[in-house]
This record gives sequence, structure tokens and C-alpha cells, in this order.
Amino acid sequence: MNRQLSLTNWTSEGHLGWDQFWFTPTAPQTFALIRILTGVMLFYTHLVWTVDLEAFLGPHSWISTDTSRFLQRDHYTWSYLWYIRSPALLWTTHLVGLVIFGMLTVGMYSRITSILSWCIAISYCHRLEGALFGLDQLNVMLAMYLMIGPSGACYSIDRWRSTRRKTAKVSLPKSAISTNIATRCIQLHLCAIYLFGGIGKMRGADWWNGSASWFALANPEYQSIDMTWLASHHLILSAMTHTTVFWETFYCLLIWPRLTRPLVLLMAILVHGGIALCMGMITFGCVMLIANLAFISPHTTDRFLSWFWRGRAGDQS
Amino acid sequence: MASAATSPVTLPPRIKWLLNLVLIFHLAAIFIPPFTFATRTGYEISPLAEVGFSIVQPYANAMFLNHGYAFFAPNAGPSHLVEYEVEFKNGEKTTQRFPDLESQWPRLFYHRHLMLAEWLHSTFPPATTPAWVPAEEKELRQEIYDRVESSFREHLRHQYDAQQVTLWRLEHQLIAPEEYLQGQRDLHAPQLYRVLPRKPVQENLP
Repeated sequence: MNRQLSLTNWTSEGHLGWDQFWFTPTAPQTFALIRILTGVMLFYTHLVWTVDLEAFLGPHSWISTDTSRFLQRDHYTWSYLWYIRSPALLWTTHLVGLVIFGMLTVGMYSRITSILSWCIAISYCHRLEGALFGLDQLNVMLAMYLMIGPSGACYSIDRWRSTRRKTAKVSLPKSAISTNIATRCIQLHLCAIYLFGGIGKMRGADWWNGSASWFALANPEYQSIDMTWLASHHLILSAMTHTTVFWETFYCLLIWPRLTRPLVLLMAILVHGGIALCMGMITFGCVMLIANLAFISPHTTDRFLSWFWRGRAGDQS
Repeated sequence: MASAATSPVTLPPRIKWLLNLVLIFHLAAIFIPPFTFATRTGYEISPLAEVGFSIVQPYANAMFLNHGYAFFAPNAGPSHLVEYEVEFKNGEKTTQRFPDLESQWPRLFYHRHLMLAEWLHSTFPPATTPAWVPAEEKELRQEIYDRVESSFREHLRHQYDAQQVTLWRLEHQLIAPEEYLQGQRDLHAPQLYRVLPRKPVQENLP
């Protein structure tokens, strides 16, 4: 009887925990900040294709349309870029895409532009297999979750326009379940990325013998700051290697308790900041840090941004 | 998460069930592809992962969720570049290499070319395959490589208005810390570049 009762309690507690995790309304400040930064990343990432747009998407591109379609056959994927043959149309759609990313960044018609941004970003990814890396995976992931919640509920032109229309006192941005679901999805997705990043590294001898950090830093194709002076510092190199593996693998556990969360996020800044500065992957480092913002409470984001803008206003006066 | 409300909102039961199902399926589509990737050893794959993957694959592919997330894993190994020889219509020849930090800017643009070179290498079929691997799969791997290589060559031929382009894969080997400390400081030393074999291309190597 007691065992049956405890099982019932356990089930109802689990049910309540699930509901609290997913269906508690959340304020939109952090989510809106993620929108702004993701918008900037999407804009910049796609702006860089402009450097040689036709070499990547034109009729004689690195990965021809036929090759791209062959590789994606039976994959349930689709890209509007498969159907564009004319360079003029290609440039037009590309520029329209950049405008949409710009609109998402400033929060203009955010509901529509978030959906369009995801459609554009995923179309580029399905068309450009082979030229992609982690940056693109994260860009699409964030764009996907921005579609779920009201990302323009604050820090946006949408918000500014809606408050301007109202004559009454400006109300605070509303908390919403959809904001919470989107934020939770980013959090869990990030946990999966780090977990399998860690597991993948655990299969390699270099990540166990402590030399992987050296080989990453001394790779001339990635190197942007010469860190080879670390060659004689075996302890530092192996500490960096082991810390990276353990941090990635246990991120999914240690990010949730309030006690360990700041430490885990600090490690994220160090690891991704290091990758950005030393290994020439500024965009990848930035997008990973943007995703990590999902673990910052809306209240903290609001306080930080208020302080930031007050400081800026003070500078100007 | 700090929020204005701290208790869950009561949703209509049908909507909540639907939401729960969508969330569980989506979470499965996030976790199963990298799990499948992690269980893969050569041509072999965990049967459990294979079953799970077959369920979520259409959704994961369509939503661009089908990734392994194995960054610099299992080892932070050597880079792979592409070197190519362009033969112009007047008979002149030039040899180039990508990615190229000097000419490809900004850094992300350079990185796109690095990814292309790495990708060509990753599609190269392995020299040996287990006997149980179906012939169609081996042929498919070869076809993928041939198509990608041909696409690269055609792009370069058009870019240079060339008669013919021949390309081959290069491996840029890394220096161990011990070698570095023993005085081998040049990370770009010619002996660190190794031409990787491919029969049809090998005959044209300089």
C-alpha cells in the first residue's frame, strides 16, 4: 500500500515538474536579446556569402545545384535556391534575405520575419551542404526557436510601435508560455550539443592523453593567434584538454543547479572566447555564447541592459 | 528561470497532450541523430540507434537537426586542403591551393573554403570495406565523391576559363609539442604536406 502511494506521489510530482518546466510563463527579455543577437549573426553569416555569391550559389558554383539535389535526395529537405538559375534573381532573393534578417534584428514584424528568417537560413543550409559547419547548425537552431515565442515582445520596433499607439501607461512586456517553451528548447538542445560534443571527444586518444588542445591550437588552418608558446607548458595544455571534455560532457547536468550554473557559463565564455580569438572562429564562438544566454534569467537580462543603456546615455550626456 | 508567474498555466487537456507529444518527438529528434552518429563505427551502427533514427530522420533532416556535434572529435587531427592545376586554353598552367588565408577574407569566407576542402576529403571512399557491405553502398560512396569532385573541377574550370582542371587532396600534418620543442617551428614546412592518393588524379600530379 505504502509502495503504491509513494509511486503515485512520485508520478504526480513528475507530472507537476514537467508542467512547471514547460508551461510556466516566462518574461521575454532574454528571448528578445537572443533574437537581436541571432538576427545579427544571421545577417553577418549571409552577408559573407555576398563576397562571392555566384561561386557558392550561381550556375557554376562549387557545389552545383544538381550535386546539391543529388546529395539531398530522399532527405525530405527543400531549398528555394535549387530553383534559382538567373543571377539577377539570385542577387534579388539574397538581398531580400538580408533585409529580412535586418528586420528580425530590430524586431520589425517579428512574428513574420522570424518565420521567414528560418525558411531562408534553412534553405541556404540545404543548398550549401559541404560549406557548412557548427555556426550554421546553431544559426538554424536559434532561428527555429525564435519562431515559437514572441521574440519581438520587447527591445523591438514592434514593441515601440505598440506602446506608441497606446495612450495609457506603458505596461511591462507580458510573460508567455511560448517564450518559456522556446527557451527550454534552446536549453535542452544546447545540452544535447555539449553532451555529444563531449562523448565524441571521449572516443579520441588525444582528448585522453591531454594533447588535443595543442593540436587544435597548433593547426595552421585554424590558428588566428599564435599559441605555440604553450608547447613547453604540458600541464596547461592537458588541463585545458581535460577541462574541455569534462565541461562539455557534464554541461547537461551542471547547468541546472543555481550553484554550478555561473561556473558552467563562465567556462562557456572561456572556451568559446578562446575558440573565437585563437582559432579564427569568431562567428562560431559568438553563436555558441548567444545560445548560452538561454540560461540567463529575463530579470538579469533586463537589469544588465538597463544598466548598459543608462551607462551609454551617461557617456553621451 | 525568473518569470512574472511562477506556476504553470492550466491548458485545455487536449492542447496540452498535443503539445506534450510534439515536444517529446522534437526532443527525440534532437537527441537521436547525434546518438546515432556516436554509435557508428565505420559501417556498423547500433541497431537501437538505427531504429530510432529511422523514425525521426525525415523530421530531423527537414529541420536541419541531423548532426553529430563532434567538433574536433574524435581527435583534433590534421587539416585537409585541395590543390589544383589549371591548364589554360593557350597551354599555360598554374597550380593553386584552397583554402587560402591571404586571398580569402573575411575569416568566415576563408572558413567556407576550408569546409569545402574538408568535405571533399570526408566524402572520399575508404580503401577497404567489410565484405558484408552491399555493393550498392560502396558504389554510392564512390559516386558521391566523384560528383563532388567533378562539381569542384567544373567550378574552377569556369572561374579560370580553363581548358582543364586537375585537383587532388592534400593533408597538412600537425607538429607534436615534442617536435616543436626540438626545433621544428615552421607549421607550414613543405614536408608537412602530403598528397593523398586517388588513382585517376595521381597520374596527373606535378
